[in-house]
Amino acid sequence: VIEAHLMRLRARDNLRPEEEEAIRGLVSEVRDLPADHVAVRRGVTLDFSTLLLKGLMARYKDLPNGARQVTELHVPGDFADLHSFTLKKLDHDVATITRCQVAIVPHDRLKRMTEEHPHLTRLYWFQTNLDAAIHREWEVSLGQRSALARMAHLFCELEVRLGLVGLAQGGSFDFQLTQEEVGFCLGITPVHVNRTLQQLRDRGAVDFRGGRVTIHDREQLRSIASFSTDYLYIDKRRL
Amino acid sequence: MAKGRSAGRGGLFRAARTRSAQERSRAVPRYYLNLFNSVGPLRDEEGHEYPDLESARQAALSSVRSILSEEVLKGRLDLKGRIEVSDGDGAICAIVPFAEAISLRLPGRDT
Repeated sequence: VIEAHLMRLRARDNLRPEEEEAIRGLVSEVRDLPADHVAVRRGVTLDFSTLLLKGLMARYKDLPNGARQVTELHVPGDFADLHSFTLKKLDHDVATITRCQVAIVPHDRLKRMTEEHPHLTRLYWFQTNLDAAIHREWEVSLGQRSALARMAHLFCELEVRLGLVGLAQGGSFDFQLTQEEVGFCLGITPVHVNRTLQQLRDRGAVDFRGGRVTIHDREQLRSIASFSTDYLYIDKRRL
Repeated sequence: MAKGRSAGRGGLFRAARTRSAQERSRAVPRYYLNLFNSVGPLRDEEGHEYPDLESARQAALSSVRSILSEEVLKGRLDLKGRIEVSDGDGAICAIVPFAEAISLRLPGRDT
């Protein structure tokens, strides 16, 4: 069940068979969650982390005026909240966007893993560092990129991250977000999303309809976004 | 049609927080915010649920301001467009002209 997670890890470092066994042993339970469901609520004390197996999830924060900012999207293989292992309570919510399947990873099992498998500990440390790198890139987008570049960047990022777990082929991938939800990611209104999307479509760079993204001209899309895969650290390392 | 799946979710995991399951199952009006400006018409194919027409009109207002704000960053401001709010049957329920979304103060005009 956790194949996507292992794929994502193997892209970054080699795993020994006994390490894969240890990772499989982290999962206490697999749960199916409906779409539009808050899986982890801010401020609630947690004794487990949530590993996404199927579907899409989002980390986000709400402001008192009703504004919502998504700070990261999660694809299969991602931990939605590995950081709750050390933080215990989150300062943000995590919700499903589509129907999802998740694995529950109790913190006491993670603790045992850190004690028995130093290499995996470093690899899991890498994962929270990677989340931080993605957050930094989104920060740059929200602060400095135009709406057009921001949207282009989001599509570029998702193609790479979904591709790592075999869910993007030939520049095409499922992306079941409404335009309002894309707006939550980009900090713009749904109408602005629609217009920005039309601009990308008119340039022949990308299309997004029917819950599916199709990249027609990757070079152009990456150029509009000033996208580089650097911050996704997709190369192998020896941790 | 495949299109339906994201739109058909009724959308927005906003619902996850602000409304109970019971409330969500109740019919909420869906409005479409269609944009008309110099670029041409841009149909809102997805639409979105709003508690009432006034909320949809407010969303249209915010959208106009969001688009204009980005235009200003490029040094131009075209106030000729409008957003039409229509219902599921395509009837126009409200019109928000760009020029009404902002108040302008021009030099030399005020006392």
